[in-house]
Amino acid sequence: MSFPLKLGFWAASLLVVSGCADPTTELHVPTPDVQSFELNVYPVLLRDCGFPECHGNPERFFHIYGPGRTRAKPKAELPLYAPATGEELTATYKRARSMLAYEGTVEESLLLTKPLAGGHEGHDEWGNNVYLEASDPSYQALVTWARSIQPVAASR
Amino acid sequence: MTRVLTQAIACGFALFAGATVAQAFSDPDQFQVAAAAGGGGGRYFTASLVDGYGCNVCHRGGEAPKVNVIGLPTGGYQPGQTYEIELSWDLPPSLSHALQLEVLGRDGRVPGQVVLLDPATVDARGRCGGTATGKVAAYERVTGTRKVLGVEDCSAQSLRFRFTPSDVPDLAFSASVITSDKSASVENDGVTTVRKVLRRVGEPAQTGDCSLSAGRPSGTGSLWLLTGLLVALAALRRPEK
Repeated sequence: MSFPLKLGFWAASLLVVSGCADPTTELHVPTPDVQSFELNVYPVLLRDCGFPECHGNPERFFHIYGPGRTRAKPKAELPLYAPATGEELTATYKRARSMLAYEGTVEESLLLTKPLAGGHEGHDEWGNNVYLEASDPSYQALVTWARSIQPVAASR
Repeated sequence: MTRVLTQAIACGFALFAGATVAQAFSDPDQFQVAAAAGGGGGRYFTASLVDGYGCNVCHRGGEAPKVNVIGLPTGGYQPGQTYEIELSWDLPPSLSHALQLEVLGRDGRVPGQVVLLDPATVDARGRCGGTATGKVAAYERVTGTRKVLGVEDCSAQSLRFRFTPSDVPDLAFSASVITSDKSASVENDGVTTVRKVLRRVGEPAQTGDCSLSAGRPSGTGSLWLLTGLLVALAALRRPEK
């Protein structure tokens, strides 16, 4: 490989790794209420997101475990329709929490932007997305949960 | 943020090591069961605008079924007139099919009457095992303003129903059909989605009214990532002169 090509490759790699970050921005990682998550948000994520070809796929960053979906343990240890385990709830909570990270307002977080017009890949050929409009009660459950929390600033 | 992501990823990989992928819903009533209890939470995966999703959000890996639709008034429907509609599919002996369909108006309600045929008139193709004495494979479920018709995964070969549209300018027919390998898992199943916008006689047609496609969630992000990695690998492996 020639030197300019090597230089370009490593420069591009560095940009990818750094996420093209502006070091002066402050990233907020909320610590939302766990009980509210289990009661109001987890059922929504199971119903609207946690399918094997979507966010029920453990190979995806934001993935969801639960009854009738992908389970965290083999079938012999955890029957398909057994209630969600603490391990599954914790894992799903952590992923959902990570999806709430934001720089400006929590409405800009991935969890709240991707299901609507934020570039979610689950839309079909007619342009329909997970929720057709922000007034959808399931989407509002996510919004309510996200807004009810105090952010914790994180260094980058 | 980095620490949070690292913890989450580590946790995810630890769990993924022993993860179990979901099985198909063998009981049609399971679609109405609460999601937290392992059901569909009211989703029937008909690929309609109200439901949002088709069977392809779960089933994968198999060849998409070839679905024939006969009787849909694609040239325009007359309100109050009854149409008999049949969906059928070719069936290799080793495979079975299942489907969910619904007809909806713009208000999210059934625009008229949608009814299955009298069970006594259902022929062998509409029965489990494709035999004249088999159980009728079709079922219907009413949920809220919706009415969903389905076919159980029991080797039937067709679904027939009657549709009498009300006086609305247009409506949407949607169906999601799977080819099942009878394993009861969501793996090695193919999916075809049928969606057609039908219009009242005299209403102007629009482009994009009809759609028949092998359903698959889009994955352009993954495609771009894979392409980038391949380019990077090729650059690294290129021998120096």
